Amino acid sequence: MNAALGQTGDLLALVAGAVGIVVILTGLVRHRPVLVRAGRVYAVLMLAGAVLATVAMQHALITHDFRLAYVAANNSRQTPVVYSITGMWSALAGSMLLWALILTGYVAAMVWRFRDRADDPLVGWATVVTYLVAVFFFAMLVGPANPFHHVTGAVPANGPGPNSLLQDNKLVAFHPPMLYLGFVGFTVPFAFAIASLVTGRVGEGWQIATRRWTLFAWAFLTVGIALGAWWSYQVLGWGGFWGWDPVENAAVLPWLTATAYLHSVMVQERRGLLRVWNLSLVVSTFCLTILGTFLTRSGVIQSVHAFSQSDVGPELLAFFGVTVVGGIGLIAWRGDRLRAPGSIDSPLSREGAFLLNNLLFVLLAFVVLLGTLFPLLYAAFAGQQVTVGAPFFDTMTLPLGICLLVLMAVGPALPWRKTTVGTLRDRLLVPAWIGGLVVVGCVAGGVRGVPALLAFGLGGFAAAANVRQLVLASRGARRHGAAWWRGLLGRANGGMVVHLGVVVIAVGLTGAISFAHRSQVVLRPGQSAVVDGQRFTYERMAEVTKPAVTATELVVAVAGHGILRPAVSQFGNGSDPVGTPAIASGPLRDIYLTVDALPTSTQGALVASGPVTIGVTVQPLVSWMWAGGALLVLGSVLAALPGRRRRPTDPVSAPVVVGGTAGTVVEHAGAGLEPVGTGRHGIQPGSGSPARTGAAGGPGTTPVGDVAVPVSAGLPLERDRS
Amino acid sequence: MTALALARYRRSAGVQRAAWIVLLVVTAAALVAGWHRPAGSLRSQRIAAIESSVKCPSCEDLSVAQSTAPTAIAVRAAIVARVDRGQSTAQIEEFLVSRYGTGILLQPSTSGATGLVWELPLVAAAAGIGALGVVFWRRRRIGGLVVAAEDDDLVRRALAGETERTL
Repeated sequence: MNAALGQTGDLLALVAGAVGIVVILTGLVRHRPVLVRAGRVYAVLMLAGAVLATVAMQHALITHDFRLAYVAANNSRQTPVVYSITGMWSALAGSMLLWALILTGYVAAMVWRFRDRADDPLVGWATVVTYLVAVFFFAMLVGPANPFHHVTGAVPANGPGPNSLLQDNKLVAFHPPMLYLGFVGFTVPFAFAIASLVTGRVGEGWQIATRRWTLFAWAFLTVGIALGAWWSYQVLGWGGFWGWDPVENAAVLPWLTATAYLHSVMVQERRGLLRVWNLSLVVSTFCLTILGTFLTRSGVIQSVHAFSQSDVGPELLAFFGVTVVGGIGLIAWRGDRLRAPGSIDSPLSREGAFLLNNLLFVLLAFVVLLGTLFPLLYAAFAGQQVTVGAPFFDTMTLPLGICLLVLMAVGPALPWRKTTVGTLRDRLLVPAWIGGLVVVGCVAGGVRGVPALLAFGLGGFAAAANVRQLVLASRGARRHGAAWWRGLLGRANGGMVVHLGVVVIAVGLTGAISFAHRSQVVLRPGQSAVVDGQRFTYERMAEVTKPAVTATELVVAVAGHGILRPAVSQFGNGSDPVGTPAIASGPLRDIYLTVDALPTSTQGALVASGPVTIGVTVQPLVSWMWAGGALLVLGSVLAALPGRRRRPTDPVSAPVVVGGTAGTVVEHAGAGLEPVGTGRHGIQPGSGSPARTGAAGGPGTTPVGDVAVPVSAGLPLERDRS
Repeated sequence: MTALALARYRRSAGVQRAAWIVLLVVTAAALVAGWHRPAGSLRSQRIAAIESSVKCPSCEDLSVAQSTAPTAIAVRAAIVARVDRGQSTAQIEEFLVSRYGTGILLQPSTSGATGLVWELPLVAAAAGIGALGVVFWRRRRIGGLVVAAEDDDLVRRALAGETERTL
């Protein structure tokens, strides 16, 4: 019953998607808007199919329907309901179903959101692209990654339950769905990017249409990664949170390119520059989500996070290849339309800072990708094993991270177009002094080590510089008669809050990595030990039995932090026991205890009075990372809310004085003044626009986005169309 | 001194330049004072350095320094014994590679084919910086912004009107 329902759902979605593609494509090619509009209904059908399949899978898991091979492998009668539900993403086939469900949700939301523009070929093509992606995933679900296969032979009476590590912590209910909401969400900007290339409307229209979608996906990916680190910290028992594991790298790769895009898109929206670059970033982000899924789900790379292996590798690799080749091909085909209608005026400008930011993020992505793929490539070409581990990534990313902190401090203070050293000297003086005082304070407080001091100092500098922007924006809001908190809304100001979150994470990361103390203590009941100033007393051993788990707990009193109970837990039937760490978290430091060895007699039985080995990790500032993650979310929400609208005639960047030296620079909530007529696209009146003018072109006009506008109008152009 | 005079004083270029110089000197002094002097003997530092660059044989990504697995403890003991026997770091790594294979070292060697993993990012960084340089250089070649008189006038009027409000 469950299997039949689930299969029906997957098939319904697959057929609906395929028919939808044909209908919309026919409408687009033959110019029949009726067909394009009619094609939207298939998004709803796909969503219905995915929901049906998900309901069937959840029903099977919760009722322990072991007739399904997937349930028999990932569930047991003792599994609590919450871990039965999360069983859907405990292995490959179910994860694919979650992916498909989220994707169809996005597609349906997109079709609904753009219902007023359904006749627009840009929206039509974007819909086709999302249908294509969905059809691929439903084909996987119907074929090689089918979660609704029956068991072969007799139906088992009970199953082993999910992997022990996946029923140890409630975070498994949140981390994978958040991560997938991020991963899958990039399908929407990708679809619009491809649609813009196909339709030839390569201006800013598609970016403005998908601005909040990108931000939404980015925010969820950020939360997903942060929760993954938190899960790793709470479950895996080594006291760390990030190991440069291939799965972690696979998640962070699209995050890096998406972060680069979120910055460079502003250069294109305002100045019309970097069109090819932005398209490439969006296409790469999507491709990297597919590549990451391939790397971690096909079994080519071992990982602590990969809880499934299967034979879907070739299909994913083929899909990755098609998207890469298709993306590059389309960009090359439209190359002539992608030339920017202007150029960057000065390296010392907001757009110059964004370019440098992009260089750093892309370099980071390159380093992570290279380090992840190198063992594979080396094994293929040299036939030898090589490990690229944490020391490599730490060495390579540290300088880039320091550069990013510097840029995050300087960038927000830079106006668009160009500025002078004098302006920066003025704007950055106070923030830089705050950073300097942080260094002095840290040294006085006993912190040693140049990388850590640099990171703390630059963190202080960057935080102060971003707070300064927020204060200016709030004052600006007050001056315009709005409440002060209005100055926190909008992309730029929300972005400053995100920056603050990044600083908090950087500080936490530095503290935790630089000043962690790890050791092991061997104690008999009643004995005490002191590690890094913390006093531990091992009181006794306790056996705890719950339906799904039996655990051996050590009761350890930590002076000032109460009782901690690190344990060794045995989940389900016959699986290997896993360690369950116990953590006392505080704003200044975390105390992290693990059971490293239990005393056993020669027969293998536990000896309750024997000496136990307890792993102790004392790590400062770990909780700052989770707090920083929360700030990132807050900032993303603020950035998605509409900020104060700039009047079309309001100046937005620094004045450019003809003939050399800049005059007075007037600050405008972090921006400056811009000569209105020369506009945000840097079009030079009378100099002959370098852009191709197209059919609508003529003297004094240039195509910007989807429509040709008079150069001197100084109107907000497409910005308000979203 | 009134607040306005103070603000003007703070904004004067000379004062600001001096404040930056003082800041640089103070920060540099603090960094020198905060220079890390590693604790422990040379021997324990060497052992720690080797341990953090050797992979735990039975783990996915952990070094033997981080792991508490029995295999990691065995490797740690081997490292300590060989350091005490006076072997060099290279000799110890050679032994571990002969025992566990080339995958035991967390950092690929900088020489030979594995050196590529270290060199390619540097090449990419150089290419990226070069590309940025070309972008800015092209801008120079095109020449400065030519502003029509009416636009310039528009800006002047905007500045005159807006200065009060925006500062």
